[in-house]
Amino acid sequence: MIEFHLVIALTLFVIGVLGFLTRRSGLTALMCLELMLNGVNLALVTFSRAHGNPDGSALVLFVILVAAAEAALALSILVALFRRTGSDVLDDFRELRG
Amino acid sequence: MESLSLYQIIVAALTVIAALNVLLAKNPVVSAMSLMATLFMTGALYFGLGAFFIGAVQVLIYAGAISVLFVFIVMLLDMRPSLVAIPGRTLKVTLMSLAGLVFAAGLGLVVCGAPLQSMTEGDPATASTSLSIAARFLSRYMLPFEVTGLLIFAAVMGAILIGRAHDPSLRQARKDAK
Amino acid sequence: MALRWILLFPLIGALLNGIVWRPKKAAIAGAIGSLGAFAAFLVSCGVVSALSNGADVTDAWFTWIQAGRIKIDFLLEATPVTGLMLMVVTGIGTLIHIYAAGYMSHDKSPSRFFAYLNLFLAAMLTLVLSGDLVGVFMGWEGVGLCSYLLIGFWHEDDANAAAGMKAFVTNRVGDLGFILALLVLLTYVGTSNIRELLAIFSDPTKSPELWVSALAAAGLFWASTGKSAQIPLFIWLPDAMAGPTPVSALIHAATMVTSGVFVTVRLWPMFAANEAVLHAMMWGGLATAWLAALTALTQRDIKKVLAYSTVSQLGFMFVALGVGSPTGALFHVVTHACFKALLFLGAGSVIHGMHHKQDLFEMGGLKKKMPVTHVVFLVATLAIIGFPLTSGFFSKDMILAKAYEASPVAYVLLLGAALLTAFYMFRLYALAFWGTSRSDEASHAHESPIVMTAPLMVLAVLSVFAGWIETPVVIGDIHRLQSWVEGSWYGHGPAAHGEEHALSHAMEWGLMGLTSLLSLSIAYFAFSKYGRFKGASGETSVFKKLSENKFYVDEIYDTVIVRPLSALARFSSDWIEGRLINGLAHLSAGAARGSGQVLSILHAGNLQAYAWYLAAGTGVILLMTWSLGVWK
Repeated sequence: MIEFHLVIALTLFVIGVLGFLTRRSGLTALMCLELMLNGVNLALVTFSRAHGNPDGSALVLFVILVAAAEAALALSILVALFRRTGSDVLDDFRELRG
Repeated sequence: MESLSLYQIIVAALTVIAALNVLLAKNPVVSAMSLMATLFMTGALYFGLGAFFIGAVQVLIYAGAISVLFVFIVMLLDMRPSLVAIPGRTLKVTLMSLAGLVFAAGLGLVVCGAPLQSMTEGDPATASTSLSIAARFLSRYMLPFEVTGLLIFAAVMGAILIGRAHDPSLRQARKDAK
Repeated sequence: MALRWILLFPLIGALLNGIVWRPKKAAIAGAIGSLGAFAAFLVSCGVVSALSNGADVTDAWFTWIQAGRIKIDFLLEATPVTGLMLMVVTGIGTLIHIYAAGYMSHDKSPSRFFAYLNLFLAAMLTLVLSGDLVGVFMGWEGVGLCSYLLIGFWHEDDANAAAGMKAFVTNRVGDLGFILALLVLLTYVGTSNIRELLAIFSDPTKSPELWVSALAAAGLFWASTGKSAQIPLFIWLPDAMAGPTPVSALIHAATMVTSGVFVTVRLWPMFAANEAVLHAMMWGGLATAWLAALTALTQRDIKKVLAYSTVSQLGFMFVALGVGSPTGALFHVVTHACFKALLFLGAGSVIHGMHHKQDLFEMGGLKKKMPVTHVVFLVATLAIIGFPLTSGFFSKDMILAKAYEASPVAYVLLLGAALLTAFYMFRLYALAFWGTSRSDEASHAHESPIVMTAPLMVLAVLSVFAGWIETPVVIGDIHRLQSWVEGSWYGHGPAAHGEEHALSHAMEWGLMGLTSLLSLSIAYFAFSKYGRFKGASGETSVFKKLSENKFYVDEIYDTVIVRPLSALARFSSDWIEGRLINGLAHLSAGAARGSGQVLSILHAGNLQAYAWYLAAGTGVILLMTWSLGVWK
């Protein structure tokens, strides 16, 4: 069972990575970021169950909290960028180039 | 080693399908809804693992707040599925996927080759109960707990500041100040 | 009294004139300068009297350099030779200072002049008194510096500044030899203290290999060709006439130019062992004497004639050294200092009376207008050509006799140079003082003030009577000079009567008679040719053209040395510096820029690009470590 859940966590994470790299819109890329975080959380809970140690779960709680904060900020930045340039396509934001 | 229950298998399959949908959907609304589904299913998976408290938190916060936030933003930005074929996009996707696959290969090999037999399975009744987690929070993880509070506070402030740049009343106030 | 005061008095005078007080009136500046020189003269008299009592006069002032095994003291020592030079330098120096107070009375910066002049005196005295070769070198460089400062004294005129530069640069080329000698001695002998050096070189068990002393002697000889104006580095002396006449008298006649001779005499035991260097000195001296004399035959500027004459007479001194007679060279140094200074100062008086015109062809008839100057000038001219019983007669004949002993060929050549001297000097005398005035300035010339003519008279007396310190066997057999200088090499010098020559009395009379007869005939011939000079005749010959243009020596140097060096410098700056080194610098700069530009492509500014780097990089690392079996 442990291996199974770990594989699922791995799958979630890989899908998240692939999505983050591939998706054109910033918003969908952020969604894939959430997927990645969830994969990690699943792995942590799995290990917590495996060792009988609540530390893993505590850590998951923290991750969820920070993810919430991060999602809020990332989305507001995205909205601000959208308002400024009218586009949410990541490739358009190249000002930090070079 | 406990064996897998049917419930876990189905939920896991649904999670993966939903995740794939997030990845592959053209319509961003569909993407957002799929995300919500994934998060919900992950919560179900937590329940299957005996982490009830975490599962509840997941459903409440992740599936109930964060993904709703995503839907709001999709609506706000009025995103439509893009139907225009962009030149050079396929090459880009291929290259990006390559990196992702390399990463997946590496990570997969490492994770699957890792020795897990040495772990003993814990007792689901006591592993991740709210009591045990709370005990941790109030002893070992007291400082991170408090700091997280500050973090959320800062995030709220930041979000407000970034978000309110075009408030008309604020613009008036800025003009008066000049 | 400690020897250091000989240096300090002129230095104090220089400080007063140059920095502390800087009086505007020439009389005051001249007084300070002359007092500085005179005070040094008084101390020198004390030194000489102490030496004549057999005392060992030294002043170990301070330890100068101490680095490892090298210990160099700033040491002042007075040997008999040194004492003689001290008298010449300070005595004639004082007279010239007094003269200059009158000559420079209308100059606009007299304090600067006298400061430089006193500084020169201090440097020259350091050269003379120092008991360590490094101290001598310091004085050597110091006189070179002061020479530059004084030649270019009227520096507003570019030509004067250029002459100063020429003197300095040429001297510098010579100084290379001195530095080489110093380095060789310090490295292979271990000391530069003169007393120790002479002891080592005279002791067959302790002296180093022959090439050491040969190299050192050659180096010092090279330096002497610069300082004492021999071939090939004499070219600066004629140009140095751009400076005020007192400068020409003091530096370029009496004192600085004899430094080379002095140093050779001071270190004589080291030179005496090196036949090759001595031969070079003799032949070089002969060639220089001839070349300069030939050039002097046709010069129109009164100072230029005297300048070439100085070069020629210095050649005589080096011939004396080359045939092994340091006493002869020293004798001529002393007598030459007297009459050449007198000649220059007299010329200065003439120039002063002619309102600063210097062309001989525009003078004439000055014997009536400037009687005192005329008489002293005649005395000096007679001395330089060796009129019997003048000082020049005795010193020149001593050199001729020694030359005859060494090599009859050398004697004949030297005699020829002496005859040329007679000719050009009487030409000068006749053109300036006889005949009719050939210009307005000449007809309105007037005698110079007493402050200028008094030193002239003192020098005239010396020019006549200074020769009686050393006479041939057949005339008085006085050898006071020789016995005086005996003890100058700390017991290592030539044996007491080592310079006694092997000529028979008849030979001596014969040589003297021949010289005198020939010289006087040539002098009379020149006098009659130029005594009623009306103006330059238009005719010219190849020889005349060569002589007037100083045998194109400067032009030859320019083509052979200066131009290739300039071309090399230009090549270096344009090609090696400009292309090669700049190219390399630009190459490395370009490489940095290029690699930067290439690497900056990685900074895509695109979020997903950075994520790509993360994913790919982590994947690669994970794969690598997994294949190495880290995760087992």
